[in-house]
Amino acid sequence: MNPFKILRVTQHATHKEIIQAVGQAMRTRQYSAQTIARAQKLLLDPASRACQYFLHCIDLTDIKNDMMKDMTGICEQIEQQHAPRNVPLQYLAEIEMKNDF
Amino acid sequence: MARKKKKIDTILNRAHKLFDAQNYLLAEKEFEKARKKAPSRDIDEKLDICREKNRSEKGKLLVKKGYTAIKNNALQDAISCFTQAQQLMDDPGLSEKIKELDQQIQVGSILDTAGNAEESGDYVTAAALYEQIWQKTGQQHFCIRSGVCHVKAGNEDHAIHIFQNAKTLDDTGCYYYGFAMAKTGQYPEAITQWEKINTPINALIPQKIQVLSLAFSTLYHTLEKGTDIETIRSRAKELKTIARTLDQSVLADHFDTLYHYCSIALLEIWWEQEDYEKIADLLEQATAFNTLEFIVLKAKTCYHLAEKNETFLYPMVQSWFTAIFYQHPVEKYSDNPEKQQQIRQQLIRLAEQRIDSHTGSPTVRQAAALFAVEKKLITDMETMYRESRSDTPRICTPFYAAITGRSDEILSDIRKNRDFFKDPEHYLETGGLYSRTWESLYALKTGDVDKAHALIEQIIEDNASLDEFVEYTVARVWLAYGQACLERGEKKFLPFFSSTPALFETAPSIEQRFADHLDKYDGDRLAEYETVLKWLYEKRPSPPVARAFSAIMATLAVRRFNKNQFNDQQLAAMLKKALDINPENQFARYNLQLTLIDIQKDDMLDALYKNKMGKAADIVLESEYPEMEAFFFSEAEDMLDMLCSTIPEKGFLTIMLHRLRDACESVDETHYLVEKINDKLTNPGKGM
Repeated sequence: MNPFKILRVTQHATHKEIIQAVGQAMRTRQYSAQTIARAQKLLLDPASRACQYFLHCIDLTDIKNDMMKDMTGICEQIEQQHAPRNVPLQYLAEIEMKNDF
Repeated sequence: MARKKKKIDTILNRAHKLFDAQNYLLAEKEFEKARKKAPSRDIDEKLDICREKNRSEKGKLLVKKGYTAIKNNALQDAISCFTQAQQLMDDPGLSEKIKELDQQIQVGSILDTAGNAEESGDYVTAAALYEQIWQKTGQQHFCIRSGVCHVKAGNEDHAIHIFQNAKTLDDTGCYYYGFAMAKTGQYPEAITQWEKINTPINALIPQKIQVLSLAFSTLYHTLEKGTDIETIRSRAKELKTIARTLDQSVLADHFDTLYHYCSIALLEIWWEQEDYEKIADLLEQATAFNTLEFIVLKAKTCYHLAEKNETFLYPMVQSWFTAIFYQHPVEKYSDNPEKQQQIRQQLIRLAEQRIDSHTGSPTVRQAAALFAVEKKLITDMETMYRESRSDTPRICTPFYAAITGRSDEILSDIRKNRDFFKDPEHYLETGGLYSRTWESLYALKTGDVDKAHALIEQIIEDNASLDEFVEYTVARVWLAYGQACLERGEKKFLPFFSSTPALFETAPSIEQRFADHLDKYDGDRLAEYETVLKWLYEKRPSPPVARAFSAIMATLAVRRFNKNQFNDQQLAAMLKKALDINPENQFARYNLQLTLIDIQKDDMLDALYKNKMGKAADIVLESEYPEMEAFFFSEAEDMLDMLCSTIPEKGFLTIMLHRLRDACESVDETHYLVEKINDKLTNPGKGM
């Protein structure tokens, strides 16, 4: 079970938000009271919450940002070097084959 | 009148003859003559047939003439012939032919105009005319020609439209289609088209590189919009391959980055969707995912998958300790090392629970074994660094150490802290797990001896220098592999024990365990183990080896005796030898005693029944085994009964009884049998 999904809270949710989320979850009745109570317990205890975070959350933003930064640089360089405004594209007439009509 | 009739008959006869000979042209003339003279229904019918036949013949001739005209390129004459023929005969193909020829005349005219337009550089007109011809004829090369002229005219959009409608494209078509796409900024698509060109064209390479570079830019901007990541990823992969074929390694790397970025974006999407199988597949595909962040992702992905599928337990364990000892999640939640430790312990328990939730199949057992190895190792490393108060504790799994190049640093720390380890084996094994041979040692410790051996052979083949940890691993693996070969009944097992004496010298605890194992061994490979131990004992006659050798030797000797392969003497000799090697071998001692007693009993019986009763008594008197006396008297009593019942001659019986009594007396004069024999001697009639 993913307590963050059960209670519909983010990984950064405060204790107050978790408790409010418990009330909301009880009202919507999507999960049993037992499941909701278990999710609450897992998220209110810091060590358990850390474990749940480990199991259910991923954060690849930093890697993606670094890569995006690299790619932006590459892209700018390419556009400067190869853009048609700088190097116009001309068709290669020699490629044309003779066709018998 | 008769003459007139005769004349008509003659005409009709001739007409019929011609009709029968299928000469309908002359037959028609004769029938007409006859009708003028004497009209009749029969003549009319015959005339109709002749006319019909003659029309058809004429038509056929005209068709033939038409085709001759086509051959002579006189298309107009051909049309005239076919048109006339059409009036004479009912052939639907003729109108099609006329239409075709008509079109051909028209097309020829348009084609000439188009060719002239193209030559004069009026590509717009040429393109339109070629398109017109294509629509009229449906011939693909006019479509391509039209597209080419549109490109030359600078109407790339129109060209693309034309090429899209072409059923097939030749190399020219592919090039111009790709070019039109490149001109309209569709760089990735342009490259795809150019890849379809079959003939290698060197002039195209620089243009391809330019367009390929711009394709990167296009894909990047598409990515920025955040749409259709899977398509961008697949395009990036395709273009990376093309860049490689063009020897554009830098460009290929750019596409690889793009591909990798898309993969990560997909991982995020799939994680949200809890589609862990797709994540696991993707993580398996590339070495780029061997970085810490992805090891963490792999650990948790496999954790979720292992809930229902035990095959994910092993990969989960492989990455679990690396994942929980780095970055995640402790640093995010606490700076307090104690709390961090608490979180780690909880995560270790969670993984253990996941393993325990499955039944003990070999897969589960292997995962559990790996978990135990890693848990102990990590605990040891933690303790070692804590006790050494290291400022830079490098607590990580061997796998992570290997992929991040930290193994040597960790090995150096292990060497510096040698005193921390409880014995040489502990020290060498910990070092071995971080050495070049770590994978082999892992395989060994998780029960896969063959894999361990295969990995070790690779290391040895590399011819690199062997440090103490590698040497230890090699010897450990060889010892285990040698035992495995031996147990499997393979012949060449002895060479694998060549490094065992040195291993035992370095790590006596292993020798102790080896000896303990063989001390209790009762399997089918006693002879093979005896061979191994004989060799080992020659090289290293240590107490544990002696103990094992002696035990195996004694057990094997007894087993051979029980199978009637050994007699008492041979058994006794082997047991004595076993006792010489290990005087504390109680099994050998006990069996030797039983054997020696048996031998003495046999000797004594032999003497007794050869009437060498004094010798029999001497064997008993010289024996160190008290049970010999009881055996002697029991046999002597049997003999007394036998003598009394079988010897009728009194004098001879008396001699024999005297001998028996003397022998008994010499063993124990107080034994009741002595008195019994004396009684027989003094009262010979009693019971004799």
